[in-house]
Amino acid sequence: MKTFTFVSVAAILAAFSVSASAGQFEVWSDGAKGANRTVIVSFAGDGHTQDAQADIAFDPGLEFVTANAKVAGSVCAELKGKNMVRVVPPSGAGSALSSKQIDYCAFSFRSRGGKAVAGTGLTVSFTECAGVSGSSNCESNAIDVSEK
Amino acid sequence: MKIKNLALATAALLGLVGAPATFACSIAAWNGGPMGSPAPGRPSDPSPVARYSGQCGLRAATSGSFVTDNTPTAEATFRARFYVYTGLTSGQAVVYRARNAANVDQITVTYNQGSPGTFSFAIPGATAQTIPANTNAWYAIELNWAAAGTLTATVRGASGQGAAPAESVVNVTGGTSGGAIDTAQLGWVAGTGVASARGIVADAYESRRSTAIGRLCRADANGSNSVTAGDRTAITLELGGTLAAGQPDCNEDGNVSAGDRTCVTNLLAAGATCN
Repeated sequence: MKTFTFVSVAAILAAFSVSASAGQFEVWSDGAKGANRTVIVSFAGDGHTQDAQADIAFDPGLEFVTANAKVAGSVCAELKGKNMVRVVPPSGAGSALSSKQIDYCAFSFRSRGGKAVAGTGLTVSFTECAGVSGSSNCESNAIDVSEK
Repeated sequence: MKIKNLALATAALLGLVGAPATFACSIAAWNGGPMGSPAPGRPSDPSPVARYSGQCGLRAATSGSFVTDNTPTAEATFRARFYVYTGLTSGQAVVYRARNAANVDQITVTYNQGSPGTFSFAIPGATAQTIPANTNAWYAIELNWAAAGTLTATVRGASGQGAAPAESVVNVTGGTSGGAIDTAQLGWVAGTGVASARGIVADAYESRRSTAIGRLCRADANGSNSVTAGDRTAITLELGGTLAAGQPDCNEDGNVSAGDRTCVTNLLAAGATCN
């Protein structure tokens, strides 16, 4: 699941603060140096959420390269022209999504102009956790992709 | 200015959440009353009635089954938007008709079953124009009529599992000028045909004098006016018996099923918004 050696401090903290009130998205970077970055988005359910979504904005200084689903049936897509990517785990289809932290999507970016990535690069702009009782925001945390 | 908003049925708007089976679908807002045997109802009824939005639709299994709105008053310009399910196995159905005070037809919308079928749009004194349309599918139809003898019809539907097809537009021109609209009828107003299992179904009627109306947000199952993952949950809940509040029939085939959940997923992957 968590295959990266380097994760953001924020992500580590968040891993110990998963609330029972909402599912949680986490955004992980490989923290590599240079112009390229791989970003992983994971999600942990709260025992109620059947469908979840996160739209993640990336800095205009980054260029989207690829999106790959790490779990079959996930939506991992660039929202073209919006500097955003979208993550939607497979529908629980009547069952709650797993409460374990599962990596659903891997995105790769590179710095425009080939320069080393610097500064905050990703912001979670929209989340939704939906279950029988309705929809609410998921918990989430983004990263500074220049972090290790 | 809005003339009428007759979601089928208005009563459905009163109890969308928490009491899905405690009220009856009503056509009371149609002040001209019913003719024949139009049947308002829900998909969960013993005799299921498809709907496009909310919980209720109006099913017409036989010709001459329709409802009438007498709210318009000598209107010189008129816009109307409704959804119709093309449930015929043969023949034709006049699904919408607007008339003047002397009961002379000013607008006639007819579904002609075929492979593909067509919608035909007619006004007095002009050659009717057609748009292709599949059988057993939902279509949104918006009409823009003027007493000068013109009608513009905008049609879109039968979207399938992905992005909606482009809307079709026809202009009917050169009609007799000087008309007026005093009444509107929706359902299976006239025409000879054989209904399919679901029959002709109408929903989400709205009329105005001049302002464009527009379509409802397709695939917005939970009624949030956006398409998000939560719409999949609303569809899942409907599969379990709790009707969705919005527009869950993403593929517009008249049946809310797991395929509609896949359809929403496809829209999410495509970054589609309300369409």
